[in-house]
Amino acid sequence: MGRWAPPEAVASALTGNETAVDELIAAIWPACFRLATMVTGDRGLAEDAAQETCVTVYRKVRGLRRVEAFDAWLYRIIMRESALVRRRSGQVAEPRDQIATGDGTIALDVWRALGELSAQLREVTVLFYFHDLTGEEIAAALRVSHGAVRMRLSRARERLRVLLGDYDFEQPTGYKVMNYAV
Amino acid sequence: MPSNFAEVGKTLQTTIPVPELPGTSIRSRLRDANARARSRALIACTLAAITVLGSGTVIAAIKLGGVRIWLAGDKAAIAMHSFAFIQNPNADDLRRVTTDATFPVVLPVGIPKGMHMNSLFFSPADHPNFIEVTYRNAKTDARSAQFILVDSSLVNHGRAPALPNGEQLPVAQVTHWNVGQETVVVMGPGQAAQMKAPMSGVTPAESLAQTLPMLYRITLVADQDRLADEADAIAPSQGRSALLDRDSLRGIVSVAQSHKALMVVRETMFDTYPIVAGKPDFAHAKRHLTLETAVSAGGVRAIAAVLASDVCGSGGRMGSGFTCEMLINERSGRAYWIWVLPLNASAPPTKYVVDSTTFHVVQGR
Repeated sequence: MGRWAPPEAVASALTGNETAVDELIAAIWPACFRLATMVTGDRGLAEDAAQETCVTVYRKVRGLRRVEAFDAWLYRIIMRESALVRRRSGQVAEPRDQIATGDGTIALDVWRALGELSAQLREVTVLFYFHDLTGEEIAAALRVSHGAVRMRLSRARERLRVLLGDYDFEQPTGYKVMNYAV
Repeated sequence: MPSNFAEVGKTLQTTIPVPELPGTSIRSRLRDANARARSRALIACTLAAITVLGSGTVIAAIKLGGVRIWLAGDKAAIAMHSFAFIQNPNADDLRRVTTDATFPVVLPVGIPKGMHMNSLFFSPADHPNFIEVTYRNAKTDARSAQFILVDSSLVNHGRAPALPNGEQLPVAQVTHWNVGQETVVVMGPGQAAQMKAPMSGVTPAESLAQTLPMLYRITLVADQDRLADEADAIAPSQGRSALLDRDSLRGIVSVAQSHKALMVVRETMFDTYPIVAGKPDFAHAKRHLTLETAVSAGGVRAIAAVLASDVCGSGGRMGSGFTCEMLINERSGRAYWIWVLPLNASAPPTKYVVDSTTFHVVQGR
């Protein structure tokens, strides 16, 4: 089952059908934007990164050979584009409170804590805790070693425990929030 | 009981408000990315035969104004620090580049009929001593050889230095000769022999005059410019004209809604790109884009009005299958002229006249 879009939608796009690619872009846009926001901490940067991600999908999705490869491929693109826009802007991870949530109140402490993490620690935290990726999947998305992911996760958890002492950092079992284009 | 970090974070993520899919902006970025890809492909093609040397040579090139070239028999090597690139140059582009060049430029003459100048690549951008042009036939997709015109004072005769890793330069099959202060280097099969004599018999001004008819008068906002020749022939000589392909038409409704003009990249300049293992690393180059208005905000609205009448296979929605490209001509008057050019070659174009105040559409003559 695809995390970003139904497999049949991805399969249609892989054939090069223009309408199918348009539909795929429309399907992935919300989740792309939200992930980029979580990673960059800035709506403007996130929109930039999400748009560049869509451009890459438009240009290169036809080159993918397998539907199953789409999820990992898209994660790689979003993470790369998010890192690029963040570097270009010169921003150090410093999210603004007002962009955290729709109602401006939910989980503000989590949002602020994310902002206290370095870009590297923030990336692995978002992918591991909020996207349920495994260490191997995160390593592939970030193009780093599995060991580096483990180390970053450990350091992130250490820091978050200081910042959010009353939180439980276990992954809830059977929890899958990442439906199509959340 | 403590809150679960993962659960709270997931909830947080799902509550982030998402802006509407910015289709127009993505299309615009897509055009830009495609243009970059084409320029990279062109450069890669050039450099496949003409090898870029290592960093030491590049430093020398910077001191010498951006470009160095070595010719030894049929082998060539070049080092370049920056360059500018124009896809489908127009008369103003070509006049500017040849006027600013450090040498009297004799452009290729005797190019087969039906060809248009497809790319203009030059370095340094302000006062070029290196110019490369290619030609393409839009109907047949036939492409010319690559013609490199360089200031002869740049040329070193003899073997180029070895690459920093000690490797020798690969053999590149080029033909070259001198015309006045210009050295012509031709990469590609067949055409060198038939170009040499004609180029030796013309002045720079004559070669420019012969080349101007091979430039598009219209702006191509199109990746697949299959109808470019037809649109260029139809376009009036007065005013600004642009051809929009299906991809561009898809986003036009939202551009019209935002009351914006349609902008295109006129010129791309790559600057200070690093050399990695003897090859240019364009991913880390500094890039400067020069934008120009292809269609004014009013013209965009006029195209949207024609699309709304469903003449092109849809109501102008993104994602729908258009069956045409559109040529628009804008001049300071009361109306926009728009031609719908069907992708089906056997169907004739249809002209529409759109009132510039009311945006009322009537079929024109």
